Amino acid sequence: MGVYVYDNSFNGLICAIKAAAIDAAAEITLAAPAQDSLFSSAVEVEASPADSAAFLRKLDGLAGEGTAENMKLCWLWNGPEKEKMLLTYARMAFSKGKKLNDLLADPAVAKVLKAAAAVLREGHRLKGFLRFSELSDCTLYARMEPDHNVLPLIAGHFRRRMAASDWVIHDARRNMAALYFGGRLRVAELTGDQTPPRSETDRQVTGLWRTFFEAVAIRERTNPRAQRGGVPLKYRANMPEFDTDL
Amino acid sequence: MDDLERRIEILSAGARYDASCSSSGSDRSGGNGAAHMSGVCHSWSADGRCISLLKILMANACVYDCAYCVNRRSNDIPRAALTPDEIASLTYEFYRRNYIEGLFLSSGVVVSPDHTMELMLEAVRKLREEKRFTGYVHMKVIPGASRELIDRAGLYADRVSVNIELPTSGSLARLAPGKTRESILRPMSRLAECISASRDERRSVKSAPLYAPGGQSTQLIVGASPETDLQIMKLSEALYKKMALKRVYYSAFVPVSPDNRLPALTAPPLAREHRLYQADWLLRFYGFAADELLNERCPCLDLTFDPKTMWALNNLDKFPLEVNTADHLELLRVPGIGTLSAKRILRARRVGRLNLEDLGRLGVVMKRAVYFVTAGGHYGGLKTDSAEAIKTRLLEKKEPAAVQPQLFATAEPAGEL
Ligand code: SF4
Repeated sequence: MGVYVYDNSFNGLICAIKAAAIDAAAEITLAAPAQDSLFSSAVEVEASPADSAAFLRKLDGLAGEGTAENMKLCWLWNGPEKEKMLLTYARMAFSKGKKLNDLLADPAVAKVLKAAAAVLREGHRLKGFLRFSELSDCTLYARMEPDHNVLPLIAGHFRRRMAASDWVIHDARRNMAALYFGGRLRVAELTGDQTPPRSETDRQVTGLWRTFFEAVAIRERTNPRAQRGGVPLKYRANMPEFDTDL
Repeated sequence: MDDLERRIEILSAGARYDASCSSSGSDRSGGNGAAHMSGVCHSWSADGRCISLLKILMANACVYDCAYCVNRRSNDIPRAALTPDEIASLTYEFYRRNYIEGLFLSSGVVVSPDHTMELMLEAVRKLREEKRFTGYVHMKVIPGASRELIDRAGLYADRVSVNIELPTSGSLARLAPGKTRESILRPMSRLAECISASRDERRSVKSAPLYAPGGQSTQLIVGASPETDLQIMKLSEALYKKMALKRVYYSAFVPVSPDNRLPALTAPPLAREHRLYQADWLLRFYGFAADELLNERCPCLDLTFDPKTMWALNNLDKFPLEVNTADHLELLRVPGIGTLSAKRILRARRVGRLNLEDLGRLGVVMKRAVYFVTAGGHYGGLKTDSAEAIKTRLLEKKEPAAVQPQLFATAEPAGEL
């Protein structure tokens, strides 16, 4: 029984899966203290972006396009045993081939597809629900607390949308941020939960937005259930139109 | 509340109802509207509709007196206006905070159609040129505006629309005095010309200016005048063919205030509106002609069954259809087979013969299709050629929820864009 240890990066995991895929009894664990036990000989896998890309292409070739994409999305998912899920899924790409992503009744495949769909859905929602406020130095700052690690999924969207501004998207749940300054995007750790001071205009604009938000609703057709279906409560803390303290 | 807030309140409230040229184009079904653009909803209002655009009027004063419209001259309501600068800044500031995807700009007719158009054009010009705004703009074109102004609209807007309002000139004369069929169709056909000219030009010269790349749409009010569904579908068919419209939006007449020119309705005819959207869908994507769905004897869409099922029941001699040999257009005409499942059938057929069980997996809604298809000669429906018997069975299988108006809001991907 082989244990493959990786560095907690996506490429690292893919390389570990590649190494473990041929070994039927293999397990994959995180980089955390590699303890050799009697039964396992832990192999530390090096994360190679080139190898990882090649292996993902191979999976797409075997099981059809979208397979690698599902792996990437599943990696961003917030749930237990991702390593095991992805290893099983990759192995099945070899054994099932093009049928893989149609095996909706197979629990292992269903789990991966469901996780990928959940990540996509939340990323899509946040493209709409993310709210920037303008800071006193004109930077735009958005705070979010997503269930899944959607930051890598949405950063590109906002780069296209707001190429001419400087902005920060802060995942306060993971202490990570996408920072876009002077046309360069990078992802970095960002701790601390103090919202920086907003500009004076920002307060006014937020007020106008709340006015608009109230006025477009047709009062006689109030439908909180449909509204909750649209914007689940958990996102509202970071959306000024739902802020009751203002 | 300061003055700007008050004006925004009045002018966005004025834009939220369907039944006026100052409204959204599809207020009710706005829940899915954004799907036509990028599928992004930025928020949901308290009445459960998706918000993706700053939908607002330049002004809600109007020199006209259209019976079905809140903003009509004779209605006693507070009036307000925004300046082009205010519209441009508001849109820009909302957009960069990710509150919205863009602007939906309309207006009551202030002073004259030309004066109104000039104000609206100035607002979108400032937005594009001064604010360098690259988001989405839908702009209404005011009937009666001069050609020079109409020609400029599509240079700034992604989508343009002139509301056709009512299906016949008789109804226009009665309910919208001041507007004529001619004053509506003229800008519409001019916009169509500009759009197609720009497309042609850009095919050879890449740098030629874009003109309303999102095309042209229109809106029609259903239930405020006596026209039949046949008349309405014939009109839509002509608009799609002659004006190359992207969409016709149908909006159930909402009684906004009593007016003796209007029918006394207790509720907007939402079920009828829903059927019109379905029939419209059949015209655009399923190769149906209006004449096939409706005729002089039967000029109204059935409210119990969808238009495709009704057509199939009236044409039982064409069924059952063998799914292994039928061509694409024939497949599309089977109730329960949609554009996607028709494609899947064609693809799956290349690999092997299909049987009835396969169809469900390909996305066919078998509880409807079963009466109309055979697979490899096998038939799973009723051994009868009576439409009444099939209807009875279909009704038994229908979920009662499907007739609640609530659901109509999400049933049809009818967007405002
Ligand atoms: S022209 Fe008619 S429909 Fe348009 S805003 Fe004026 S009254 Fe309303």
